[in-house]
Amino acid sequence: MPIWRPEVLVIGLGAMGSATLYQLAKRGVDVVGIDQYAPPHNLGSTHGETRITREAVGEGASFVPLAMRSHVLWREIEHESGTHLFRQCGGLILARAKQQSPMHEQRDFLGNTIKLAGQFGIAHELLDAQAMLSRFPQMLLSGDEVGYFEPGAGYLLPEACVSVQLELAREYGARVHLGERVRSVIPERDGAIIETEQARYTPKITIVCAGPWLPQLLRNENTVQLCVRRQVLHWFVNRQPRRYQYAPENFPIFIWHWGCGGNDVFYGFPDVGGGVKVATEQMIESTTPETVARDVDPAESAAMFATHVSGRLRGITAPAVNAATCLYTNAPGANFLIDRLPDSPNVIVVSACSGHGFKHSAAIGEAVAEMAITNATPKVLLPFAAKQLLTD
Amino acid sequence: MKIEELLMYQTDVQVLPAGATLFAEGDPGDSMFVLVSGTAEVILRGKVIETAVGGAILGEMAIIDNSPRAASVVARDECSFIVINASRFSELTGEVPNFALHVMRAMADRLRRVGKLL
Repeated sequence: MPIWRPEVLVIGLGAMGSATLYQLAKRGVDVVGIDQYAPPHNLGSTHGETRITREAVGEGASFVPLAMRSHVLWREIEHESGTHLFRQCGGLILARAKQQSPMHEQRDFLGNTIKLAGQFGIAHELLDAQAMLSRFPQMLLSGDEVGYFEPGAGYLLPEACVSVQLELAREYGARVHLGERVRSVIPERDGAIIETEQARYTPKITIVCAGPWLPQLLRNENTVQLCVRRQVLHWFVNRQPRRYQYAPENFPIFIWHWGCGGNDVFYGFPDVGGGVKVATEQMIESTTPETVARDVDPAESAAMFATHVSGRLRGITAPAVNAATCLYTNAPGANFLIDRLPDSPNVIVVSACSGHGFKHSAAIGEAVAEMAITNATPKVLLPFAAKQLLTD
Repeated sequence: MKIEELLMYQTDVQVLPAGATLFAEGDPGDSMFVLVSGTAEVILRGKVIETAVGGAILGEMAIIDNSPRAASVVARDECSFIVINASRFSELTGEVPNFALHVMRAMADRLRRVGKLL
């Protein structure tokens, strides 16, 4: 069995892993990335055509610097690779006036968003229902909605983001080992021993970005708090394209709180080619990557349409033209977990999902790379330390 | 990790309706395909030489030697294919253990099949 002794080993090459690998390779670090599949693939949390990105993230102030830095990095990566990754089509978050807008463990998601936009100087407009209707006539509103519009928000192309960062990492000298499943990670005082189906690794630094596979790969008091949950994405098409335009030139990404309950919200995207993608989030049932139902029952899409889409997006009709499942890895408080193992400081765990991680992945990759190189934790990552998780 | 499994979960998917041609004999070829669902017929000079089912690799020869397609592939029913372009093929060949062997096995199997028909 071959033995590899790289300076840094990155386990898992999805959103976080590919970004970390790229940033390390760019800094000239001797780094190897391994993945049990060949990313981008459709088994984790980094697929499904699009991901929302916005700077004033109502999840909390600690996430805003990551989102803002990521917007800069996405443009840099686009420039470096010549590949389109990020479309600023604008983002609209709307809710009923004077009602709660619960999301991602925040009771007033819309209010938080507006507050953080002001605090961080993020360009935005506040719109009443009439203003929203005149700008986005595709929407059917009740009349008492209020909206936050962020012109710099939009969507990322997750598969391309992963591919491009892996390609750039290779160009900078990273070695990528695909189709290599990790059997065990044994943390030690000064490093770790990683055994895969093909090789043994004894890197100086190990960065575990295994997404929904993390809880089973590295079990400790922190990772047991992570909970994997199945989510479903649905695509519907517009049957009246002449009257209602859902292209990114005409329609934003949106998060729409149409009621005050935690389930009275859905989010969506403009049509980037395969239809208008919409989804909700379920935070109740847990699963694992091995046991999750990957197929989507047409009844699930029908229920999505009936509950959320029907009567809200003009021209959009059932049945769904496509559907897919993806996995959230949720941490308590919708937080992230990014920290060294307490007894093995050269093992860094990165779990940055909770349903809102992808947009931050470029900046997290950069910060985790700095963490690995400098032996210190960048300030931007301090809110995601394990002790923060335990106090939630 | 089984190569078949690794290939089936790629994200670049092309869907073809029943009766549609994935590629025709003599076409230039810059991608290989993995049949994910449905059945497709491999046709050589008007004769069906293989009925491909889930997991089958198609179009591998052209991507290896940049030659025109050696046969045609037509969807018998609605099919979905994973598309593997030249750069992806190169990555997988270099970075996935046994990927090249898997493709070679598929080619050998097809050669034997064609040989029996001669």
